[in-house]
Amino acid sequence: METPAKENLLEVKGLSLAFGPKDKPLFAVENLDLSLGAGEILGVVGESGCGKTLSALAVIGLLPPGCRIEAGSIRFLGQELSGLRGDGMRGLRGREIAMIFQEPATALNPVQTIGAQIVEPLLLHTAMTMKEARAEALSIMTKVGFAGVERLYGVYPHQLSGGMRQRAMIAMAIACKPRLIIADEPTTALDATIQAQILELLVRINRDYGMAILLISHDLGVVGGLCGRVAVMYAGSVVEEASTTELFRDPVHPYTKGLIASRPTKESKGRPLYSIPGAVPRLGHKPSGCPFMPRCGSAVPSCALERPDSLEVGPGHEARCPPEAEKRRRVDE
Amino acid sequence: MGAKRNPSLVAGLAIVGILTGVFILGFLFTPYDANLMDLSSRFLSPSAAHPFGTDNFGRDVLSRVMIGTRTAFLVGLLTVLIGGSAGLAIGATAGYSGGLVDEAAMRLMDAMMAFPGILLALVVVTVLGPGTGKLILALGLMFVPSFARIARGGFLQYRDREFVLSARSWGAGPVRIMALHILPNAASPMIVAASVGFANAVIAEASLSYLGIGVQPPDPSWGRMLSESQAFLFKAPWCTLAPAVAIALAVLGFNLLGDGIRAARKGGGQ
Amino acid sequence: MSEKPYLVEVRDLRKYYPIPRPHPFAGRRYVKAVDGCSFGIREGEIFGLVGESGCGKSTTGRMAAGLEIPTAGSVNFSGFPVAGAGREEARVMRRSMQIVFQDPAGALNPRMRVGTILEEPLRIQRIGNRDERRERVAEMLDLVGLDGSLLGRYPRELSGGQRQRVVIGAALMLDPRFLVADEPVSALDVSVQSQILNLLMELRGKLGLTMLFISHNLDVVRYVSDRVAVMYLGRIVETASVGDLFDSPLHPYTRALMSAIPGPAGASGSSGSGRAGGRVVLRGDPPNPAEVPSGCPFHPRCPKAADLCAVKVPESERVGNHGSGRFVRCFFPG
Repeated sequence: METPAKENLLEVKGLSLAFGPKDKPLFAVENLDLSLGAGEILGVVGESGCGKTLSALAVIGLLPPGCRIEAGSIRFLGQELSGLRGDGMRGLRGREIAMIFQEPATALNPVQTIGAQIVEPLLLHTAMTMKEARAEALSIMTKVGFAGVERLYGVYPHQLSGGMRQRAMIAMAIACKPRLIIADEPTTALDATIQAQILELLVRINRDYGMAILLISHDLGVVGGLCGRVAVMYAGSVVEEASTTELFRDPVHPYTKGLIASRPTKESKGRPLYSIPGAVPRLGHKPSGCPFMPRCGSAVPSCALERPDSLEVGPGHEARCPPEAEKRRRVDE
Repeated sequence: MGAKRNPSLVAGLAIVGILTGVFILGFLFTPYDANLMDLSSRFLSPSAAHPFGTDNFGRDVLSRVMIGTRTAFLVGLLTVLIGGSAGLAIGATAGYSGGLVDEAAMRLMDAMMAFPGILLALVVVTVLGPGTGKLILALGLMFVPSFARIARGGFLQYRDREFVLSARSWGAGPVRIMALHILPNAASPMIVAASVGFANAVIAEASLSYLGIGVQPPDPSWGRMLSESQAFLFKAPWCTLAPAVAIALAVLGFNLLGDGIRAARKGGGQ
Repeated sequence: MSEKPYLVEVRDLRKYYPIPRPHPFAGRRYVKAVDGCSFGIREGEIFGLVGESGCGKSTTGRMAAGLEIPTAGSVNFSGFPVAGAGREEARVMRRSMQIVFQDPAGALNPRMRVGTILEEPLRIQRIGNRDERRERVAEMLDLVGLDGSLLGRYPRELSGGQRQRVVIGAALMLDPRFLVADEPVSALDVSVQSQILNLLMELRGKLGLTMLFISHNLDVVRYVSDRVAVMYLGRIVETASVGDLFDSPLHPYTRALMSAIPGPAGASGSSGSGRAGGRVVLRGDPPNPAEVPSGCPFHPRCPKAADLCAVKVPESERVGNHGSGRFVRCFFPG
């Protein structure tokens, strides 16, 4: 990635996350690079177990017990986050970085009213009085699409539908106008028509407040519809990153190609779908070379030797597949 | 499964193992005849000849504790067997069928539970008369509701699971589904309950025997040994101490075993 | 195709669940999970059923598979009513109708090995002796693309795709003619999803299976199905061939569903036709099935709703006169 003139909002470099004993670590995320500019929407797409959620939790400092940062740095607004603990991280969390979880039913506190939960971060991170915070909460609730905010302020999460709960989660996340919102599968638990509403809301928030969004999803369609740039993760690292249009038009990494080709479409009806053979390697069973090699149709012997580097294959387009990158280069020359 | 990962299981297995050893040994060999009175050697304090001393009739306390293990195990095992199988049958049927059957069975169990267990056993023994067999029956009855509740919970939880629906779509009848498809999944809490129930049965037997309505003399039982030695507690404390420690050990052992099984099934099971 | 008789015919199917009453004197109220569903599936056809969660599509599927007893209405299988069948008939019929569930982890008994699971249907139906059953299991493993070494494994030791292959294999052990597939790929990863879809299509070709394919994913339904019904709040609002439905959806709800398919604008592949009329983002949530709105249940969210819609329930009307069997339940279709 070319070094940008100004420092990015979020800059993750060489991040490795591991479980297990210190002397025999099991890497869930390996050498991860991500960068996100202010006001940008970056999509991270990958299958379950690829480390996308873990990476997001590392950014917000909420790694599950047993998981640790083994190497690398996470810089946010020029400040190193990876060594930060306790107060430092808590000060950022909610105020500068906020998170939206997949399952609003469990992410909201069932015994607190919606209003109280939106007011909470305001009271925590700003100098607002209760009265001001309440007024602010009501205006945020209107913003995220609640109708009749005065009444809904006092209801409990179980009285709301799934879509409304997710709106409440978003209201909590944007309460303090953070610069970065991490949305982890924000629409996976929702129905199609509600998913469309929530995605539209996220776009509006990004446009109106200029908040950057890191959107994590397993659904290429969701990511493609919302994000300007997409990073594809496989077995703990980013295998390809490009602008959305570029990625769909001209995918380079065999895994990305496979993912795009295996989606059922109008054109594929009546013909067998492309499918990537095999399954995602389990934690601790990753092959030593390129992790995708056992499933790859165009692997060459050198793929088994070492972890491949990410190479530039076009402007703003990188892929972690040296043989494919080499092919491109030869065609160009 | 190392001791580090599941200390309860290891400790429980060790204690229960030792007690089981004593239980089996009791059939083959005791230092003295447990009921042999020798008035010339009353109240001997512990020595090489009588490691736990002798009681007011000059009987060897160690031998009596060993034979008491036999009583305790017999009562515990049969009680859990009776209570467990009846409870399983009732609870499984109630949980799997649901509706009115469930409602009726569970209200009956509630009614039984509302009645203090020991009191219930007392009533049964009073009506039927004392005796080890009747004691077991009474205690077994007392354990039915708790087993039934646990079984019902498990069967209710799995009744609508998709693998059960699959078995139904293959044409399996209710008995096959309950026995083959649900029971292995719902067994964990039952096994734990059986282990803990064993400990409770030991206590209950001791209590009832202490009250004099359990195991009848001269057969030794830990509970009766306690009540008999009460009168000379200060003169010969070993007579009280030995059965008391035995009871405590048995209860602790089976409770630990129950905890250990719970942890093991949770960790390795699903 | 249209001359073939229906293998499975569902008539005015209803399933009401009583709501627990707050006190014994309260009136009985019901959740109308399925409220008058009718469709027919021809031999060898794959019939798609789409809708959002809570619309009653899974309940419909379970009733069609004979696993749940309808409150009213009937399911006929090759001309015979499923509900009124005698003991022996029901047993035979049950063998012919099987179901594949969404979550392969939940659909497999966690304490049974793969071999035992696959053999179980045969043991229940007392088919063959031990060796013959083993042989059938081995053939089935091969058919669903699994390695023989998996026989002794427990479900938790398999990957999601392998598990779903076992579920499908177990459902096929009794040689069913009709398979209800309830969201069979929704719990799977993208790269595995296409493997399972291919397997289902391949099996349909080899075995001539008739399928009711239930899904919330329109891309998947379009790929798999010959005809599709769209459900909303317990009712079918539109039925059409897959081409008609995706090229020219008539019910406003169908249109909204189509435009809700997420995807990159202009990218090849999905999201094609339904987008034509611009994106329709529906307002509001699907209402609670316990409190179905008056008139057309969709009217509070419908962009086209008129006064009539709030009062009168639209009937399912045939569209066009060709034998395509296209129906829509709307006063103002198109």
